[in-house]
Amino acid sequence: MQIVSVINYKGGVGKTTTTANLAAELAWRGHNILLLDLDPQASLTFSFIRPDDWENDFAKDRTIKAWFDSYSKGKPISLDSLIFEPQTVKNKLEQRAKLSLIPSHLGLINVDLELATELGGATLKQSKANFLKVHKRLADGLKEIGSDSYDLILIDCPPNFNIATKTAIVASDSILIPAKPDYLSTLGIDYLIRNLNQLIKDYNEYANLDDEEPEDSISPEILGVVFTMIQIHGAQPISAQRPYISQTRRLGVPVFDAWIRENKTVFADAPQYGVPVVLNRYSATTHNDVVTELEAFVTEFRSKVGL
Amino acid sequence: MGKSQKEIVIGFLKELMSHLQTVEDAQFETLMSGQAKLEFNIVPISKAAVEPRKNEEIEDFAKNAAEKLHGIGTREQGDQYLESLYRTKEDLLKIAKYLDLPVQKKETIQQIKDKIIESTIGFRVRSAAVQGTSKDNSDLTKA
Repeated sequence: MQIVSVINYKGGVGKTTTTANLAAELAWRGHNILLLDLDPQASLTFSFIRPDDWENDFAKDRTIKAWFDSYSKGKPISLDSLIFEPQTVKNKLEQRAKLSLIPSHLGLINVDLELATELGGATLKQSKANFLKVHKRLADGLKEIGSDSYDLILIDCPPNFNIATKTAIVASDSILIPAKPDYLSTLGIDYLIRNLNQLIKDYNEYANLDDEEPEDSISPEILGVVFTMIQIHGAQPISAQRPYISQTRRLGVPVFDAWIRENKTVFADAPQYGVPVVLNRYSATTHNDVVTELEAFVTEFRSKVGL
Repeated sequence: MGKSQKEIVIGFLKELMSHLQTVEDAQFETLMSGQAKLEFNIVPISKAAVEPRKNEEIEDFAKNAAEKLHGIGTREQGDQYLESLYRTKEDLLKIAKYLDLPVQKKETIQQIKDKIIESTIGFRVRSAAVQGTSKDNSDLTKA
């Protein structure tokens, strides 16, 4: 079972669309996928369940916030107890594989305050122990989910590097970065890499402080940048976007050959109906182009993670 | 009144220093070790008066310029290099085209130069600044 975090510092880059379609296509191809929505905006959650259903059936005690809260209350619950299969997409998948979700919560942003209170300590040893305990909480929680249950866990991270996000990075084998090929979005990649390197350095320093009882080090790798919201002209990204793609490659950051194009007609309302675009087999040419490109991205993703 | 010989020599030495600043360390070492030599060409000062490059030399010219710019470390050095290189606006447009940059003919020489420099040098400089390192720090970016 592999764990991949999907993150970009810059919001509005199509992160949720990328995650939802990646998960749906992988499930269509027979892989059991667990989605964990760690973004307080809950966009991924609302791509599979209606906000009113979320409020009635999940908000109180069936979200990732409830799991984090359970630690501060001293009565930890299991992540397993939060997993469910959204019905609409389940029907669409025709039992090819599981596509499960742990929903997010709009109040998840407050979890960071709670986690921050658990850090620190009177001695270096205490500080180290608390740092590791907090940062690997999600990793430990995900380990309790049977490794046979899912082929892949995708964590949809918020566009920040708060403690909850760091728990996702610590738990991950690799990082997927959706990004728009523009000036600010590509700067966001650099900022993300800076913070990733810093987190890994800090975590591993703490993990190896105690020679007698060293903790496991972490080494999440950047799986790649997938460029999103591409505007196409002549079967390739427009000239204003191409330089940012080539510059990212030149910096040595892995970049997916596949891209995800901008298309408001196709993408705008898909989340409202609980089925990602890639699973809708419409006949329109534009829709087919979008789906073909998403499928190419998923094929490349599978190859990179070895699914 | 024309320039004195002293002024000419000083100007020449300044030009030489400016050029040497754009030479990479490795190239400079081969120069100092005698494995390479510096060559000087005399070109007219007025860029407008020069003949455009021949079609057959344009591609190599643009390719060489792009490769050189990719190896330069600062925007200022890149600017100096471009300033010493181009004869006409067309030269800059050819370099921009080689680099696959969106440039329109109505753009000024300075705008085109800026785009060329940002796409060959600027992106590396700003990436290093944001990542907090001047060297490639991408342990994570294993292909």
